[in-house]
Amino acid sequence: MRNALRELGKHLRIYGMLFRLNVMSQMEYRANFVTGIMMELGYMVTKILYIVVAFRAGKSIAGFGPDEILVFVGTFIAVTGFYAGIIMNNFFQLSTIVKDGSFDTLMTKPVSLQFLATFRRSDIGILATDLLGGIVVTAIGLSRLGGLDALRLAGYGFYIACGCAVGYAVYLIPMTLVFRLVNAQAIAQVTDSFWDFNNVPMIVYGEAGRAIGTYVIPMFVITSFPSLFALGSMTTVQMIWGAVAPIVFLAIARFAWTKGIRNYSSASG
Amino acid sequence: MTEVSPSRAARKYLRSLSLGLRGALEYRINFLFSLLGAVSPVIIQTALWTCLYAPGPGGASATGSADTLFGYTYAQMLGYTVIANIVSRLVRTGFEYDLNNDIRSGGLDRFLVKPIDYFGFRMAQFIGAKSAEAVFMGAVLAACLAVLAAVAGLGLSALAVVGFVLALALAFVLNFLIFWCVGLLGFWLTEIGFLFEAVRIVIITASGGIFPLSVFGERGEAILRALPFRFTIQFPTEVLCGRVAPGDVALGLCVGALWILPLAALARAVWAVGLRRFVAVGS
Repeated sequence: MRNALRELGKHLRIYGMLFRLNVMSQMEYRANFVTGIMMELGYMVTKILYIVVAFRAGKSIAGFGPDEILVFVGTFIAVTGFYAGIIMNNFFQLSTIVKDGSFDTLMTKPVSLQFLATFRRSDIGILATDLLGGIVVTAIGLSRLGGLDALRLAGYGFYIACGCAVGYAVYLIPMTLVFRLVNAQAIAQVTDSFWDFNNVPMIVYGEAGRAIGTYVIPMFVITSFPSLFALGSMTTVQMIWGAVAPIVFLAIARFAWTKGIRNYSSASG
Repeated sequence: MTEVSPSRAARKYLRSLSLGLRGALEYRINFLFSLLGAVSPVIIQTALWTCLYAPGPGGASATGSADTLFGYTYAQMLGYTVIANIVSRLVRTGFEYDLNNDIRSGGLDRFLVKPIDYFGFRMAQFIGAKSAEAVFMGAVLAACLAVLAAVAGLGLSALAVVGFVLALALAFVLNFLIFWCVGLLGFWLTEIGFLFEAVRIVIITASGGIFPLSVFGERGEAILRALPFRFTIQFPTEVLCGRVAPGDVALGLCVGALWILPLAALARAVWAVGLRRFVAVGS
């Protein structure tokens, strides 16, 4: 247990250093930093368009009114910060580093290879833009609905953390195919397009769609579950699954990763 | 100075066109996957509209009766969602990255000394690449329209199809010119970063590529309708949906075609000014 904690502390310290390095590098290439924020703001506008549609249509979406939609979309924007700012770049680059041989260099480092390959790049501009935008939109929605008590806020935070863990696992699993295919850029593009399924409450997808999106490819656990908890609309089964899904899918992702590494032979060699 | 015959001049652009065509066919798996990526927004928006159009306590709203929202019936909205997503994929450019790369790396000078017009070369390549996609996407679109006609009762006339083909051709030209102007920013910016992507998202939104422009309200729609962007996605989509009267199709095509003039003039002016700044060292 103590060893595990020591390892965790060590990786957190390394992550802090990597994060600082990424910030410094972004400050060096400021155009990238600024245009990255512009791009994310553009994406945010497209997400907010869904709120505009809900408000202007003047109708509820499967029982959720415009204020509740604000919470769903706001949470989605905030968690997108984690996806686009913390993990996406690493997953998109996995194919490149396997192809050009840089992955071999990562293998020689005395830290977890999965950690280094999937967390070494981050984008503070994208992360901050989405986080800030998401928090503002969610806060507007929640305040119009009467606010949150401390317990609900803690639960909301808990399910967001669980959602991020599930998001990491769900996006890592298909990317482990890179060790077999080498070029997995197209897979990254397809899985990336699935992210937007959370732009609307999961209830709009019908029974079969909800079941698939909750238990098979648990996209809805990522951002719909925290919103449902904040709105007091989460069922007991969803509460349990929301807490169990990260364990299940992180285990599957770890298994897929170690199996993929076993099949890996340097593509550049 | 030797005079080049028109057929010889045309031949080099046909060659560029075939290069674009071959390039598109080479990356067909990638293209198929990118097509799969286009399915997600269609599913999301279809689910959303199905919920919003479902009869419920909401009833009539400020933006339409119980049967229409933002001026669209359910069948028209589904048609719009599917067609707009396909059109958006179809007119999507990518040459601006090559253009920027040529400017930044100095590779542009190779074209400047050759007896070929760089604009014409890129345009021909773009048309070549898009013609391969258009054939495939045309089949996908036909299948989607057949499903929509059977499931949602979306009507389709021969006139709408002809109007759509013409509007689509216009959309290709306009989108090429818009992104050509955007790509020329490479003459001034040494780092483009995510700028092209940021511009693309804004333009797609302003073109009606995500939702119809009526979603932006009367004033917002009026502003966006005064810009050329709607001719790249919304106009061809509405023509095929049968929402534009035959007389208005011709008028729309003429207005859209008129936009070519200022955009081409802008492209020419920016190219001329940018070229004066262009320095190719050691390439």
